[in-house]
Amino acid sequence: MEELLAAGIFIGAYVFIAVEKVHKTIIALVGASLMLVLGLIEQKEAFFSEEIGIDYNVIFLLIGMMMIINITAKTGLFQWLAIKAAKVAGGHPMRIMLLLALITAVASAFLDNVTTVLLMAPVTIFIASALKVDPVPYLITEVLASNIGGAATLIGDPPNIMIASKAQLTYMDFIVNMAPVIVVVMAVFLVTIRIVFRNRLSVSEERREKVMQMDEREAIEDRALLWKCLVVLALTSAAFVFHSALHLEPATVALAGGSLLFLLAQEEPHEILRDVEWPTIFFFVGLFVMVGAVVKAGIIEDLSQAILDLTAGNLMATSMLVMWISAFASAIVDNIPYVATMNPLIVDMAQSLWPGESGAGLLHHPELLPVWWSLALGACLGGNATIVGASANVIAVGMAEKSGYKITFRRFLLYGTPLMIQSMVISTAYVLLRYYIL
Amino acid sequence: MEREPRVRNLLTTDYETIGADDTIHDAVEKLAELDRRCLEQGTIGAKTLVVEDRDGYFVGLLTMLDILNAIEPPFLRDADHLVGIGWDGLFEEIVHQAENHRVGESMTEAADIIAVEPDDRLIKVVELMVKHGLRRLPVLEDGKVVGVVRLYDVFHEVAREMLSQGSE
Repeated sequence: MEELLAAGIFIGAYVFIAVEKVHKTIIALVGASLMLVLGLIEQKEAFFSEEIGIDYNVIFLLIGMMMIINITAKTGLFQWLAIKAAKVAGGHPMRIMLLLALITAVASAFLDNVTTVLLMAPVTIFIASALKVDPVPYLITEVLASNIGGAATLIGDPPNIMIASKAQLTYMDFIVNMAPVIVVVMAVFLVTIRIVFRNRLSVSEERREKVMQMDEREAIEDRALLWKCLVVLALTSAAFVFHSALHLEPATVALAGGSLLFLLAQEEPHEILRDVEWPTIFFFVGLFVMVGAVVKAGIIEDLSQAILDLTAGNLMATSMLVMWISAFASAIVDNIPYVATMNPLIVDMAQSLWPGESGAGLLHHPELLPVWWSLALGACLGGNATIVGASANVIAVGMAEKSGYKITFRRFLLYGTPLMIQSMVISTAYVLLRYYIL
Repeated sequence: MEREPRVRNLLTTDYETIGADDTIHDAVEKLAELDRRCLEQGTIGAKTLVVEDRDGYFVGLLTMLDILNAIEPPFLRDADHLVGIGWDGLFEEIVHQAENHRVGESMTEAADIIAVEPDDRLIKVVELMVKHGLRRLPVLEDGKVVGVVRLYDVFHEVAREMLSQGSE
């Protein structure tokens, strides 16, 4: 009975999130409250259980990074970078497209994708207006690059943050295992867009001259603040690289970095904290409680058993299944609730495969690690297939529309889905070669 | 004792009307014409267009600021840091791009406008102008504009009152 009730609430929430009639944060919080009120999970478990409770590592990592990003966004750094890139490209529309995509990918590896796109989109439309070209191909390539770049690091995309926390993986684990394949995916992506748009982008010498006239220095309003941000970003990145050697959890690093920048910048706390994406944070809170209740009811255990039955315990097959299902699932549903569901499922699968193991020995079992990377690759890159696949896509489309450029579902799909499949083929080859064949 | 003046004694009818479906180009033409007429006559004018629907009912106001709003590209509105960065010819481009925008898209809508009625006391005008930082209020009667009361008109009334008392 409890199993049915928990499954009903959870599936209902998924459906409501997909339909998008009610804000997903409200659905997650209502779902979580129902689970708590009906006693499907105890409050004590929801708040304090490391296995099935709210994952505060994820919550505070997000909050800390949002604090850093919100202050950095005020400096004009991104606008400076974009205009500088356009000028370095000599106003050449194709080179500008490639450089802006690259900047977006690198920025997204270290900052939240949505924020990166929010900062890049207006300046991109601005540059496209100077060139008198359609900004839509630029915006689409940037948002796709953002989702690719975000997959490279632990902090680049929420699925990675969640996987890292659940599987106790370090920042360096992601750099060593995810970054190499992402570099290849990105390189192939850039070559592809160069081929696709080669004959479609041409501008007159006169319009290129307009780009060269822009003064990027005007974008930086507060040089002192910019330096403080760059110092804190560098320190935080270094601390992420060494967090495991320093025995610091990623959330500690993010909060310490955020607090340090707060202290140095002396910005109004009210303003900076108001700009933290509270709806996203509470979406996570609600989701963790719901997933906790579903795990407690034993539903995840049944699902993991079903997957093991399907792949007959073959972990290579499991990796492939997880990667491709994740990619297509993330193209349709929000990848955050998806990964929140998959995380305990993979842990459960590991427990039934290696009953004698526990803790890091279980989570980092050499045969299990490729499954985590497959999940991360599928969930992060899958979002590129459709407009609704990732929050950054939705944001970019919204901003384009506000400026009078409509990106239809079909138009996005035409670029997004083939490029998503291309990235998944590369990821598949990578996982097979690196973890199973070589 | 002299009866205290009401809004109807102050309002000006020196304004132009325009339809919500007309273009910004039409609006600029009318405002420029209004401005020229006022200069010729040595009057100040209301420097605003009253936007009406086909039946003459009030649907909004279009001021010079609303016209600047129509010209400003939306991508600049989202990006504080691009202010001041431009290229030669950008101003001309954005001005011409806005030409065919509809008045209805750029006006301040009636629902967001504070209006007064002909019989309202001046103190109400003073209060509204101070509280909301307004320089002109449309005067409405049965959903139609019958005039505009301007900061200038109220100041005139203040000056009359203060200076006439001072000279007693």
